[in-house]
Amino acid sequence: MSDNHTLTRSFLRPITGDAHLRPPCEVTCPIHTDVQRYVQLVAEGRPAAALAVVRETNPLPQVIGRICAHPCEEDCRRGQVDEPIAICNLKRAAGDGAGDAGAVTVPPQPEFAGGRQVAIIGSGPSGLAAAHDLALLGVKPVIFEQQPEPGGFLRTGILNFRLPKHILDEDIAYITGMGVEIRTGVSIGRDITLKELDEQYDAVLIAVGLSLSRSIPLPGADLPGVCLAIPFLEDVNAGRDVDLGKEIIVIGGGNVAIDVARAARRLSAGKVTMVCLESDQEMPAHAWEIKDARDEGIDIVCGQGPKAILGDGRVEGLEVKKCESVFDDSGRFAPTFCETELSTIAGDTVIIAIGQMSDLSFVPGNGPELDQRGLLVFDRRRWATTRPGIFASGEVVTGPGAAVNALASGRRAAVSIARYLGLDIKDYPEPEAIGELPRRVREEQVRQAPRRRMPTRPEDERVSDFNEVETGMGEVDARCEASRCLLCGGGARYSQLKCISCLTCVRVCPYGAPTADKDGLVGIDADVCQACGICFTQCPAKAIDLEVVSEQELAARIDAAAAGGGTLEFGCWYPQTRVAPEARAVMLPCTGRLSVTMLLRALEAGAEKVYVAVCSEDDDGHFVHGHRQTRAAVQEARSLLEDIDLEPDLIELKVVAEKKCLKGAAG
Amino acid sequence: MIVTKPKPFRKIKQFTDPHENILVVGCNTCTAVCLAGGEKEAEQLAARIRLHRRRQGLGGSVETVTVLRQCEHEFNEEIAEMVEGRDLLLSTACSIGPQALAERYTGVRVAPAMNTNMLGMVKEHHVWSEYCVACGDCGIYKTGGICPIARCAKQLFNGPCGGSQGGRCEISPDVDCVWQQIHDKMVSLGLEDDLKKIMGPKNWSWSNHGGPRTLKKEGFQP
Amino acid sequence: MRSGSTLEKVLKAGAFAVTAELGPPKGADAQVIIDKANILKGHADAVNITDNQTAIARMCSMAAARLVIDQGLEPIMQMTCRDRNRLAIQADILGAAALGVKNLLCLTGDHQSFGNHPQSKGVFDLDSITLINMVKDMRDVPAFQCGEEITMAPELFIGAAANPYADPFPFRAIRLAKKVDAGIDFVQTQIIYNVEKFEEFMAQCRELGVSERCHILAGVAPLKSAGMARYMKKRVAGMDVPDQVVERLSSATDAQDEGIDVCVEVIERVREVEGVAGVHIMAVEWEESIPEIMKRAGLKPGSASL
Repeated sequence: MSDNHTLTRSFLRPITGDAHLRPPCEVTCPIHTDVQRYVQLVAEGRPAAALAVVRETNPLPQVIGRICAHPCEEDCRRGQVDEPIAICNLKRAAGDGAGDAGAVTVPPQPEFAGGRQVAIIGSGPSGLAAAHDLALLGVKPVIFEQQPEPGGFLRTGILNFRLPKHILDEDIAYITGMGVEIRTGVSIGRDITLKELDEQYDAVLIAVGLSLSRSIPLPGADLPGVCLAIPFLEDVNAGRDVDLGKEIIVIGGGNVAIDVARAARRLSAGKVTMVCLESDQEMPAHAWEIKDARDEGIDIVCGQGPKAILGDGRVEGLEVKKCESVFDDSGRFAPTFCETELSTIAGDTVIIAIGQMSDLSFVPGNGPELDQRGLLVFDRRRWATTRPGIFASGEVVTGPGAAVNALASGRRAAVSIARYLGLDIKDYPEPEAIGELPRRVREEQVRQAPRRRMPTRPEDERVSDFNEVETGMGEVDARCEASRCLLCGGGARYSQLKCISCLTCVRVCPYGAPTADKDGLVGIDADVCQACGICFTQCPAKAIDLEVVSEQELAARIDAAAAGGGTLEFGCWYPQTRVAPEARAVMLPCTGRLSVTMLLRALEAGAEKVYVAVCSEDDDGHFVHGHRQTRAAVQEARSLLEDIDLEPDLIELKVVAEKKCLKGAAG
Repeated sequence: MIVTKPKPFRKIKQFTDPHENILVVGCNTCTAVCLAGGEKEAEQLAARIRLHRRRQGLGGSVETVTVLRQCEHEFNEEIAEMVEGRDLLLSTACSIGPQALAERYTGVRVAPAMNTNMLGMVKEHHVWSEYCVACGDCGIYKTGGICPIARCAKQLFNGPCGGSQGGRCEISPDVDCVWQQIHDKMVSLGLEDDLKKIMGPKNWSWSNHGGPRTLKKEGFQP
Repeated sequence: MRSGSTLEKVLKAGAFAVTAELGPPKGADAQVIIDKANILKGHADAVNITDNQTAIARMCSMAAARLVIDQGLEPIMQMTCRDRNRLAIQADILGAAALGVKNLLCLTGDHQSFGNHPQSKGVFDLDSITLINMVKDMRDVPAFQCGEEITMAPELFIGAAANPYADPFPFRAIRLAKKVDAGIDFVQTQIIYNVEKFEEFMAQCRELGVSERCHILAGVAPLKSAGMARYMKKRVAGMDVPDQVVERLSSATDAQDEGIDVCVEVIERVREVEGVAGVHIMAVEWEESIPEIMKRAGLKPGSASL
């Protein structure tokens, strides 16, 4: 039997882990998306290609492009210079741009030749990711979803103003387009039992997430006007009428609480107040979510714990006590209160949004083992429960986390299931991140460039409907933002075998990345390298290539752009810097990475005229000395053309008028 | 290190124009280190020749291959398949390279793409200076570690000539007077008395003036 | 007439020319030259004045040439490329012409390693062929090698050497043809003992038209002893001494007499070869043998019949 994992390199890529150091964004990303590459493609104005790169590791690219917690941005080395790259926004820009460009993405059509089927319980991000990857491995996934429509919490818990339903539908349609079957409205335990699934399928994956709201035993919690977050969100998402008063109090400080508050803000003309134990700094919600909430006029009362819901027959307010500390010395959640410092927040509605838990009521007594807290006992390495053939992934086993973490666990569980089914899949090493930017480079050499902001609708407008708040970066802004990327680890790749220890790289590198010892052993410090490409153009032995836009790729781009004649522009990937808009363009992080051979290649490949964009001489551009190398290469190429009785003007420099990316908002 | 410089293209095209199937053979040792004829330059030269031939309406093919050291037959042996069917091997090595190719590939014409300039040293990126003429009888112990044979225009043995002016040689203000340097160095070492001794005529028989040299080293013979 | 030299007149008149060789001393004594000149006088149309022959330092050929002129004998001044660069050579040529030298024999020169200063640098700025070309331009343009005009041209009859016995043999006549193209008027060959090979060489020269465009003087020399014969056979590059010649000398009771006989026989044979315009007798340090050779060969200098 042939194991049908003739997968694209792309599928395997995320976890294959290249031998060399990877950018921190990719390493931090739970699914190790090749962030740098898609950001680069966005910079080059190739959103459809960027989206394809995202898809290599991410089965829900458009969803994640909107709601991701983007841990990648936390470690972004650009953040050591000014602000991190807006990676999440650029992922969305890739999808938006691809859609605008009319790019139709046809999902792969795996063959389910082996006859193996896996039942997946839950169609949230984890279940969808596992299904997607299993399908690619030739294993037929069947997802069971108790809700009438797939998506899990993405559909029931996240609101339209953050994630429009049609976006979710599109991403899910791609997965079902691959042959993944989703049976909605099927409740496990009621319509079919776990035991039956276990018998009928080769394996089962429990990916039910956390579908129940936690509550707190507060006096007055049974009053009308008190509700729990998840039922509330489900109602709102389902378009059911929700009876909200005029003064809404949301208990909780997490992201769900924020969503609840923002939904309430849209449903009620009155006041919305969030009450949370944590201080402003400690709030578990993401800072940007908190900002959005505040922008929308939501009051956040920090450092207060609920004591009682007040009211007689109907909620009238919330009595709160001062919270003195939230965590104990070892960092565990163990709030302490000052029972005497009390106050009252007036309100007619209280929504409790203090956390979620899983519903494992479908797990039979003799089924996979549960621990004392009622959680699945599971092997974190294999994503396996105690029952052979039954696996678990997502928040049901990891606890609450970001959607992208759920994707990651689903993908890893898929690998484990595939192995259980006898497929030979190797252990994938995790990529290793390059180090921090050295201080000299960070402070003196990397040029600052302002981060582009995600445009949003005006607060007063957006609170009146459930339409999406963030309108998406325009193409120019997205490209500006993407071109801020420092291409960490995307620079010199050096072959010790080919190196002749000539020291050229050591002498020409503006950043001092290459060094050589007395034995001639050259090393290029990836932490220091800024991927300007000067060493690549100068290395006489061709021992250096570039990770991002390698020589081979550059040659292919040149050949494609030059084929059929006409004018070719070697352009800077900053937008609005085109020097020959009518020409076919080869866009690069900097034209300083063009060797003379590559300039000549454009003519060889058929270009009748070549323009090379370059920064003005007083402008150091994105890279130190980049423009000098551009000028030197063009000058040399022109004199070589004269040598062969060709018109030197076949290759011409054109100075880029202004790099708006390095200034404020793009025009 | 041997320092080479590419021949002007007008020379190179005289070599290549009459031929059909040309292999540009790069060398990744001295000529690469002096940024003249390594793999990169060989490829660039091939691109130039192709563009030139296209313009001239000349057919044929121009390809490139680079070996680690063209002056070793073992490396040249490796490219036998690439050489097959060529009628010209254009070498970007120092002049030893094309001679070695000619020895190995007796049926194919070879041409040098380089001029072999000197035994020199890099002074700064893209700048090289001559330091040795391979005289076969190194005497720099007596001259402060500075060679007056390679670096004095007249190859003087006994001090600067009357053309030494302000540390510069009379032949060009760009050329240092090496005897000024030797003098200063010897003074700084407290060895100026050594310079007062007459240095006799040099034995040139150990240099190329004694005829082409062959060096044999004693020791293990496989 | 290019130079008006006796040698040129003899050769142009079609007379059989005889040249000889006069080596300057390893000292400053003019009398040595004077004595040798007087031995040779009347027996040769012109005499070669060697130039640091076999890279041994001697009195310079220009001064010796002038001393020979003073004795009423015509010199063929030899000029090698080993010891002078083009500046020195051109200066010496102008000086020699001013002193009355009319024949110049252009040679590359023996390598310094053969001589008594093997540690010296060899100049070899020019080779014999570029030298010939330079001299021709000095005479005919007239201009220096750099192209600058010469105010008064040196009127010289330009000669060169040719060796039929060096390798590769098929190229020897071609190389002589190059010298003709470069501008020689006459050529003197290496010493001939193997006449058959010389005849072959001459056939090639005729085929290339060399013998029509320049006067070929066959080189001959008397062997003084069997030892000398063996030495020349074994040690001197580009010499071809047949075994029977060595044998004749070693079995002869009077080797010197036998040596002269061998030389005379060679002269008699080469005279018959088509295209040979004369002989060049190289009796190195044995100038006294020349009158005897001439007598036995029944030769008189060509100038005697003019």
